[in-house]
Amino acid sequence: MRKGLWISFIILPLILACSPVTATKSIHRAEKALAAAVAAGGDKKCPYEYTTAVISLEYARAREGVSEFEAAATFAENARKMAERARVKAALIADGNTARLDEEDVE
Amino acid sequence: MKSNGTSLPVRSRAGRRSSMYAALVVTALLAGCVTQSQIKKRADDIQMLVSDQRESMYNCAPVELARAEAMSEIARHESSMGRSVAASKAIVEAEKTAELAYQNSRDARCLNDSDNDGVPDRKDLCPNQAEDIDEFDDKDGCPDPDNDGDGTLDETDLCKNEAGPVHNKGCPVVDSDGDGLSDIEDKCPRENGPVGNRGCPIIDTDKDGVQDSEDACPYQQGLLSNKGCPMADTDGDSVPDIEDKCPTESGPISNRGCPFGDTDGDGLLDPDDKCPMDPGPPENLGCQYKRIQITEKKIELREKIFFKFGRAEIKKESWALLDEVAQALREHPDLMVDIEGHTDDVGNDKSNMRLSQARADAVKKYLVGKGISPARMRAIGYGEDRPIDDNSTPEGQAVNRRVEFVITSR
Repeated sequence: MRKGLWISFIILPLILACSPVTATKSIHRAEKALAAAVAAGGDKKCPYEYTTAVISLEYARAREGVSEFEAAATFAENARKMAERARVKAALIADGNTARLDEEDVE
Repeated sequence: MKSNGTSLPVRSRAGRRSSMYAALVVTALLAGCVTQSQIKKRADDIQMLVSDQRESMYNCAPVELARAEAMSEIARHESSMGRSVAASKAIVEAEKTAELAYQNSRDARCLNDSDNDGVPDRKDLCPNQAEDIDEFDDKDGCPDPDNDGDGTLDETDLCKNEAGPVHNKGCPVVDSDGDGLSDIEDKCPRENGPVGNRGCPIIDTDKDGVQDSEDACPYQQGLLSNKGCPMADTDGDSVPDIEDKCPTESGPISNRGCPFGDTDGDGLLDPDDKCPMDPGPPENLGCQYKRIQITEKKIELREKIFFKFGRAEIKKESWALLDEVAQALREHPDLMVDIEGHTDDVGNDKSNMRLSQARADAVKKYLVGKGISPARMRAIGYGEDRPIDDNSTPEGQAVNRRVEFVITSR
């Protein structure tokens, strides 16, 4: 009984990491971040970050569609980061704070 | 036997089929491997291109850059999953967009580089001062006029990245041979030599005082003025050609290298000939007569005619002299002479005049006695009127007391 509990403690996180739940969650978060970026004007002001986010999200969805959840989660996370970066930079540009704007400055 | 004969081909066919399958599987696997490595290489190439030009691409072709990078990542992923077709499609797309990004970002303005030094303003600590590209701190975008900070500007600093004093042209003082001169100033940095010789040892093989490094003839003695080479002496008279007035004729130094002549041809060279213009025997030192010499205007006497004190009587010791005058007059019958008597200024004028006349007459008389025609001679006394020396000294007075033979016709 105890032995089974231990095994489930080890295996469960592994299963969760590659599960459709995690991937779907990541994709959802990326979609939200992308929508926020667009709302901040990131699609126009930060085309590099925005485009990267869009392509990564599309690919994440495609991977999810063929049950490659790990890849889907990874690409979705990348999409989220880039969307977030686009949003923050767009906001900085809108504030006129462009003096030393660096793509690496935003995480 | 029969069964053996039929069973062999069956086994052989099955074996061949299985080998073919195996070969196909191996080929497919190998093809997959090759494709995977090719995809990786192509993705790496794209990555390299992009990282080189990232700044420009980011500014002028952001969408293409994003697409190239994202598709490259996708290609890698697809390849790692063994889906070579999808990987190929993705890498082709990545290459196309990377090429497009490159083309669209060629303009210099894409770099946002105000001072045009290759360092974008965003990273340029001195955006309005161009970086001096000299492999020293070139990434900060600021010029470094004195890399080693030794006070000597790089343009004149022979050792830009090593500090050294100004007097050593910005280089650290190194004196390899330890002779007190830095290598830069030392003409012979590996040989010890005095400062006065610019750090080179003094070597003078032929010991002529001209050191080998400046001696055009290091094994022959010579003069410094001739770069250490011996002077040419064509006639071998020890007078070098450049100082020899007669370089092809041997002659003594005293005559500037020219041989002495014998103008009167009497066998005595001019310097030994007391009468170089008149031939004469060697016993008379080249003169025709021993005690006299016939010149253009006079019969010069080498001795004085002595008279008894205050009188017109010729002393015996002067007879030989007058005999020679008589001989000269005989040998030159065309000569006509004035025999002039002169005195010093001691005593009164009249008596001096009388004495000089008497002495001239005495000489004439003597010569007549030797067979010379009196018509060829005229005796004249000038007294003290024609001195040729200072009468205030005994020596001058002695010179003034004289008899002269002046040629009046020849």
